[in-house]
Amino acid sequence: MIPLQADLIIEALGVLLTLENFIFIAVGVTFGMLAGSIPGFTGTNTVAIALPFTLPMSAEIALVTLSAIYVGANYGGAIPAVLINTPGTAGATATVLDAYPMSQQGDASKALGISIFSSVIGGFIAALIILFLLQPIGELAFLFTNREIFVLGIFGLAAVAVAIGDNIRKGLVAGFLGLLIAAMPVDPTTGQRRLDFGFFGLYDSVPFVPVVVGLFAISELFYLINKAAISEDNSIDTSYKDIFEGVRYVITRPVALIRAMGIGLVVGSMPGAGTSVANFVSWGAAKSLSNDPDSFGEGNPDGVIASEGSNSAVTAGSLVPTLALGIPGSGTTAVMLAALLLHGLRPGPELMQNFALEANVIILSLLVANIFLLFAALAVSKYLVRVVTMPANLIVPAILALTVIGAFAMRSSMFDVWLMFLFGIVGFVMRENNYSMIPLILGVILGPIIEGAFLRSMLVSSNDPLYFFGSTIAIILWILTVVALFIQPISNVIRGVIASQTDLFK
Amino acid sequence: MTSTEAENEATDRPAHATGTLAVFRLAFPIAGLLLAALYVESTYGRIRLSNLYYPYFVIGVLSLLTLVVLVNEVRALVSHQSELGFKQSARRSIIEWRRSIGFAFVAIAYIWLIEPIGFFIATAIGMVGVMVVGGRRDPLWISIVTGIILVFVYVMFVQIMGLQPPQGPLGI
Repeated sequence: MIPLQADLIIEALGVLLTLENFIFIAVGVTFGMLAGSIPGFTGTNTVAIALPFTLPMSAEIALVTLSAIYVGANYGGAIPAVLINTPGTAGATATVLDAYPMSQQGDASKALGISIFSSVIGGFIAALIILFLLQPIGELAFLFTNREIFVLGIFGLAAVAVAIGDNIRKGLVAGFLGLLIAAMPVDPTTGQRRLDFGFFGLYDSVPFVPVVVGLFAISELFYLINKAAISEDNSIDTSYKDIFEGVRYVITRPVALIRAMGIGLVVGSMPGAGTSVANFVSWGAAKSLSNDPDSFGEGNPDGVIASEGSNSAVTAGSLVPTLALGIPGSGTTAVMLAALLLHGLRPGPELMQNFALEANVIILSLLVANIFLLFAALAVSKYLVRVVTMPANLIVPAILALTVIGAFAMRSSMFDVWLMFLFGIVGFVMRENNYSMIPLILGVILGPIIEGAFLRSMLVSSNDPLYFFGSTIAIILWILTVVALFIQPISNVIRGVIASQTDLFK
Repeated sequence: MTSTEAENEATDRPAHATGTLAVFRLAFPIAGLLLAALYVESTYGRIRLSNLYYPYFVIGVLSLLTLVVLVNEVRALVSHQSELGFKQSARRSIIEWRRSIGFAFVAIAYIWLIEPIGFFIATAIGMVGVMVVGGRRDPLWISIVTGIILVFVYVMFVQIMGLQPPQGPLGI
């Protein structure tokens, strides 16, 4: 039985509230904001690059730091969205729609203030809600045995492949390729070598840090090197007086903020859906419920609240499936999954049984990170936008050097550096051909867990495949898997039938 | 839509040759199938079959899905109207992606050099190489950025984390 949530929160606070953690949160939020404000450099890439740097840290500090980076990067995307019409991250795409027109109308500082305060309050309240949901999630996790964990893994891959990317089949190919890559090292029961191409680096397990860093960070460099500068727009004028005017505006719009936060929380909790989905859903809802919908997209401050309030709430929401089920709610949480494994925390239902304290520390760190974000963003947003005017040809070599040493650091192995670069090329080819990289990452990370659960289930059932259909939860998960796989084709058919019948009646 | 296609539409330039597109579009699924085939070749008959249920289940699903993707890709390629010959198309792709290709070569050389000449010297050479490929020519900025990163890596990884990156003949 896991301890009471209140006791866990108090214990987690004891772990979190140290000077060391505050410093790492401050550094994490600032670094995240800085990297998140670089257009094209996503929160996922930022967390992926930071991953090897957390190696010497304890699990708690590492996860606190990465959570702070996640919060910072999520907000950082709003800065160029407001000031130069370019979202720094996918989650800030809807922010551009109203924030940049505000900037063009001379309200850039007010738009910045709105984005800062909406982000902070949305993220803070969402994290608070999730904190009190961890207890029921933990109790639910007790119902999962090896059989359910195996089916859950398959469902997770299917759900993520369907939700992320335009092409389900390509998403599934990527996911199952990830599972196959994870199954390349030795047989877990006999220790016999399977397919390691003679590389000792692949003998025990596929190192996921080089895979994650390669797919996300290195593949991005192939694009970034082609840009002379990230942005050539230097005409930026901001003032603190107007930034606080934006903060005051958000305080007068509590309903809009709570609605945005609620949408972000719900969308973020769905496996595979992320900030990019949430901020458009929230923006659309705000527009349709507004008395003046035509002003949305023309510089309506409520549009900025809708986008920023929701994408920051996704940060907390997306950690629910990640922590409780081992299924990431976004690309960044897929990297957070890797971070959990790197620091000895096994993602999935067992996490809430065995690492409930760490899960509480992560959520609490989001609360603290959001408070720090408020001060950091108010202090530096005005100036941070200069990052986007930095030449790409100075950023690319710096990132290359940091990722090389980062990949090397984990096992002091040059094999890992080569592996990272190989997956950088794989990531580039995948991106050019519309394959989502997140299912591949998920397959590599979850592969050993799924295989272990499969082998133990087969052992218990004397190799009876029907065992995987032998419990209510497993059956529900199988049904959900089938629904996830066929929901898009079925909805396409239904839409086609409705369209054809509508044509008939014209 | 790939960025190459997007560029074609945006600039209204002649469409790539089918062969060039095929090389790029089919590379990933074929690599997946190849990996699956190698896996079977490497394990079948050598490892007890009951231990291979899981990887072969994964391979079965992967092969099926990949074949469906391949069929769709081939159908799209068959209907593709190419306006360039293979060589012209390949040349244009190389020109479009010349910096990315240059970056790849410099990065490979950099990683390859780390063990023989040491991490810090290789990183200095690699960073200068990438900056030159990226179009930067002014020695001042090249030196400043290279210096900052090398100092940061030394402090963070060597001093704080206690990491020992490969050392070359000069001991650095």
